[in-house]
Amino acid sequence: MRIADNSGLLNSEHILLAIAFILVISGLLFIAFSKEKIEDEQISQLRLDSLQWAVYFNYLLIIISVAFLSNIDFIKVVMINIWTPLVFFIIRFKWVIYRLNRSLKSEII
Amino acid sequence: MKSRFLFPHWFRYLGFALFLIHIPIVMFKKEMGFSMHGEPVSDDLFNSHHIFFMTTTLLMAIGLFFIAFAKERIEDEQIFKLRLDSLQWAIYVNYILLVVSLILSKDTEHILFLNLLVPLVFFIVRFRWKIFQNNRLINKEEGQA
Repeated sequence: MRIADNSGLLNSEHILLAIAFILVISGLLFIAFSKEKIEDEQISQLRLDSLQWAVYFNYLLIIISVAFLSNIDFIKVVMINIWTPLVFFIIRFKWVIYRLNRSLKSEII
Repeated sequence: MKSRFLFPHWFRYLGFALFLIHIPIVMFKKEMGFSMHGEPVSDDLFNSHHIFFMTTTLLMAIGLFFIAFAKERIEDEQIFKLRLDSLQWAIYVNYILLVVSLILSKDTEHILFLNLLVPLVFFIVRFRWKIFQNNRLINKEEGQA
């Protein structure tokens, strides 16, 4: 989707885009940074690790896309860039917690 | 708890070097024959505008990245906690700025650029500031004791 024809900020396309951005970003932020049921040291260790990995991954993506795309595609880069760090963080964090729980259970048995 | 996945300490100086190299290149853009404003930009990847943009952006981003994620001399629990807090704050601030700028403007090239710069700069500044405050507090306590 390209926004080039209407120059004002108050056309319907831009308003739709803005509302969609706000919904997506606040939703993802709430999922990513809500507390776990039990917050202990291990969880915060996992959280920092995942957050670092998400930032690393995001910069890798930005650098690759800046290097290989020309100016026209910047809106797409921004779109991708909005959700990658949060989605990567959520998936990695939940996955590590799941693995931790499984290993704890198998130890108990 | 300990911090993992960090670069060695000397990467910090490498990062500063890369970041400082990129400043004069951007400042003396015109003198070096890269001033392309106003000219139509062609679509292929190897025009000089794109190569200039790419090299300076890469230098800056990689430099900031190394500064932000180099190990401290002493890595303890407090540093770990400060790092986690600062990283979270950096992501919050980045998203707030991103939403505001997406609502108020359509200049996506500059939004992307801002988005590249803000989280790392905010993280570096807040992390350093917290460490400085921490050290001052410790010095004060030692002075009183």
